[in-house]
Amino acid sequence: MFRITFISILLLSHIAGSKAQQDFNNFKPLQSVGNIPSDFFVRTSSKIEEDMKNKKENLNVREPKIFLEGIHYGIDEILQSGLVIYGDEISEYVTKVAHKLLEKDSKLRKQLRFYTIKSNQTNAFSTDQGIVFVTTGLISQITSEAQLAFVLAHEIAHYVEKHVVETFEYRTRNRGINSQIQQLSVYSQEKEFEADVEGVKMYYAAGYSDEILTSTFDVLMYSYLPIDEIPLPRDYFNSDLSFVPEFCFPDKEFPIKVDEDYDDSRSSHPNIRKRKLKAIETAENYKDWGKIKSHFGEQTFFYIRNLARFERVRSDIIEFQFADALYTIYILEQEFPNSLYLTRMKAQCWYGLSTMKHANKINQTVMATKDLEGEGAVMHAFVKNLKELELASLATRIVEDSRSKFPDDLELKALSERTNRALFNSDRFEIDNFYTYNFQVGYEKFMASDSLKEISKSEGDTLVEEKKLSKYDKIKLKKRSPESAPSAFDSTDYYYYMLSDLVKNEIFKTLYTNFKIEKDDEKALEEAYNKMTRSEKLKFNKEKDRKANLVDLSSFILVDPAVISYRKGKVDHVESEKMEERVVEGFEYVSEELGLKITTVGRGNLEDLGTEGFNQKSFFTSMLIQSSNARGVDIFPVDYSMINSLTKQFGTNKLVFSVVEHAYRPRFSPYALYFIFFPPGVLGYLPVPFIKGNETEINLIVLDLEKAKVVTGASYYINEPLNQFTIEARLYDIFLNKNSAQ
Amino acid sequence: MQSKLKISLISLFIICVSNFHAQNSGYLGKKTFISADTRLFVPLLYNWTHVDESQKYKADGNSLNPARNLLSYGFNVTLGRAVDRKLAFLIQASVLNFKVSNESFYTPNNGSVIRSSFFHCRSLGIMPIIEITGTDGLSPIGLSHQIGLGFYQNKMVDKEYVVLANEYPDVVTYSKDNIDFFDFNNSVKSYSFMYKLNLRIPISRSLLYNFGIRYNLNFTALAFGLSDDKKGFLYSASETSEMIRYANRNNIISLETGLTLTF
Repeated sequence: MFRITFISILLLSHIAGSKAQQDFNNFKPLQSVGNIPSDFFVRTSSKIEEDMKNKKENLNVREPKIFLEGIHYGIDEILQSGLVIYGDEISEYVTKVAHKLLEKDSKLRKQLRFYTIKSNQTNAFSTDQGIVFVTTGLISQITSEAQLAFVLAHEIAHYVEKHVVETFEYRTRNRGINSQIQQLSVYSQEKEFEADVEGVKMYYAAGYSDEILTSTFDVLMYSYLPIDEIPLPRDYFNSDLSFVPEFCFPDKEFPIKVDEDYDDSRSSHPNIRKRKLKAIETAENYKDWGKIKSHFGEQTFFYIRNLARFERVRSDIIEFQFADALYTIYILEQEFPNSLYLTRMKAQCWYGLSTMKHANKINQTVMATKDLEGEGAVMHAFVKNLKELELASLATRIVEDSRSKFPDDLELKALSERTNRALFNSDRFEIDNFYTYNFQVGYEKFMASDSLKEISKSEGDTLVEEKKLSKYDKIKLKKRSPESAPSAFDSTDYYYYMLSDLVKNEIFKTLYTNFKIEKDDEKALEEAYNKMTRSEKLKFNKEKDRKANLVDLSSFILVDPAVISYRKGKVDHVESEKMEERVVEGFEYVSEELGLKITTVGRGNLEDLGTEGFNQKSFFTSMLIQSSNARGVDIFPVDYSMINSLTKQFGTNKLVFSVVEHAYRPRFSPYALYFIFFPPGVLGYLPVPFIKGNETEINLIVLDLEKAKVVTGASYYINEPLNQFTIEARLYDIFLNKNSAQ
Repeated sequence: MQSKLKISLISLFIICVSNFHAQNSGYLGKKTFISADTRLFVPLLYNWTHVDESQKYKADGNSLNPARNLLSYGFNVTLGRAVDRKLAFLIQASVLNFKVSNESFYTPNNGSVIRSSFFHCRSLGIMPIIEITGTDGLSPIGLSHQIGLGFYQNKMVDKEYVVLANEYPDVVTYSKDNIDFFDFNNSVKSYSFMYKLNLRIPISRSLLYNFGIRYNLNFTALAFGLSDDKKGFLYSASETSEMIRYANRNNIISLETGLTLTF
């Protein structure tokens, strides 16, 4: 009886455990879990105030206030970036490993908090406030729990030793989160060695194996490469309907160039070789090393790593690194061939590539030729070499195959529609140029044709021998007899065979017909416009702009605005933070005045919204980042399904986001020097720069979450001081004029 | 979200959206406004060009103490209506107090008057104004440019003045007790063309704080007549208008500050 109960409990716990785990075939992006830690909602100025009271004396820096401001605003920027998660499976795992390292130090265990950053940088860093960040990029690259343990031990050592980062000055403009991470993890070479030495000590005490220790440095050294080095087969894109000739792939290898003994004289970090040697030297001081690679099981580690690897794909798509994402998908497909998530992401990548190519921005998604290294570079080189129509056709093929694989998936359906449209939009696209049979049939047809027989005969071959020729021999044959080239089989047109099923499909044909009608209408309108007089054109444009900018704003979601207030050329963080709150209040006041429904998902109400609100905010922020990276190109939201469910939950698809900047900078005209000839005039001129000295910029955009497009917005550049009422006046104006419901 | 990535985000987005060709929303829907301003003149030229040769005086009993006219002042009440995002029409009533002196008649050897205290003049005027805001203007708030052409009536103020006159062989002191200096009922007309750079900053949901610098070009109509046609006054009408014109001409720059109520 006892035995049965025990087994039942075991089974139940296993089932319960597996329920909590991710099913990689239906992977969902990681979200925060549990109660929201105060790190995420306490005002930065309050944190600084608190630290000034308690820590000021212990800080080994010249100007504690400047240091604390730099650090706190930098960290809070990361915490609010939408990329940080807490309580999720990775963060929990990292915490468990860290607690293993700190088994004998309960005080430190309580002090430290471990969060995960969804970033493909291979990095981890600790902060003065007791937060240890680990990136998904790092987890996706390591090969064992022990490597993670050493990285964590190193970071904990920085915290314990109270190491102060070298570059804490918080910069504000045009900096991505990755550079912020980079900046907050820069210590002097001396401190890096010290943290390595202390880290080895902790690592040893936790019983981990010394054999794995130095391999951690390999992870750091090769972190710029993909998660694995698996050759991309030349028939990877081939299927029943698709054939991509080998000549489309690069004909050379891309050697890995990095050397571990690089020049580190100008770097804050010592080079890998020096760190390795130091770690080995330190390790030799300890005897009876443990043999543990993993305290929590290899399977758990690989599961966690796969989570990070799946997240890696998402991060790459947000960053428009489609070729990298595709190579990672290719690696993950080996293990998870039926993953809906990977299929969706792959379709997203191909749609993204197709639109970027059309916009002539493909170089933003693939590496420069000189930077190509390793097996992953093949994907880059392949994508880069494709012409627009080739790429659009291949993208359509792959997305269509994905949709066929999961016919009920709405995301893939939406992607298919968009990819088709991107194809129609491609240069030189004519549906009639596409064959109604695939490449193989085309080749066979050609083989059976009289023209080929004639060519073959002229070469003195028999038909039987001719059939044995490969397609490349056929190309050579074509080249040998240029006069007969038009009738020779041309494999460079391989992409015209890729859509053989679609060009016969009525839905596809209707879509194309509708697209053509739309284009014809546009053309007719353009012609009518060209015939207009100048005043008619002005009137027409004005009305067009007005209509184009009108959207239904009766209900919208507001995310945290960004407010930057400068004083004496530097950011006044405290004022900026206060003003940010006032801007949110301004939105709320205006919404009430105009009878609009506003849902605020921001830092100010995170304490009330809790983790659910934090996760929603993160999804919206990710979408904004993705939109920002698109640089004007249409995007497909990486979290399409999640965004759609949030749209339904909030009852609106409008996301409002604003940026406000203010500085007081009286500028004196150089012409004022002429007052030297008439000095009293100075008094008449003097007040002018001071009156005009306020420089305020208010920008607002409204994003349609379903279309993933900016649907309206406004931008003001005004010489007015910034206060709550200035903001309210402008917001009132925007919502009155842009809201079609008003 | 505090991320400054948003800055690049917005700068990218903003190219996709056009600005307004839309109706004027005024200040939170309020387009009519009334302002009350104090106006402070800095009689720059007046002081600059007459530092040594013509000291001014103020009356102290029956004696004169050297003084300078560093500041004249006035008050404006303005009613305005924003008719467009960038355009407003205003009508302004002003009362100005400024000092004039008789320095234009001061001739050390030949003239009769030697020294006088400042005389006070009061102007009442009305001025229609056009107000134009900048590119992203939202009348009535923010930085604006005002252009106006107004009409003023200037009158000397009946106060205690002291004039020392050369009545050979004596120097006679004139005061209100023994002479009528001016015909205080007589008014002198003047016209003023002005440009003002004005800033209205919202300080509550209906109140704005104004601040601006105003440049005036004043043209005063001279009363024609003989200088000795004094009709019992120490200064004739033409002398009075000459004095006012001189002072008005020098009141080029003024600073204005006040409050605006929007409704």
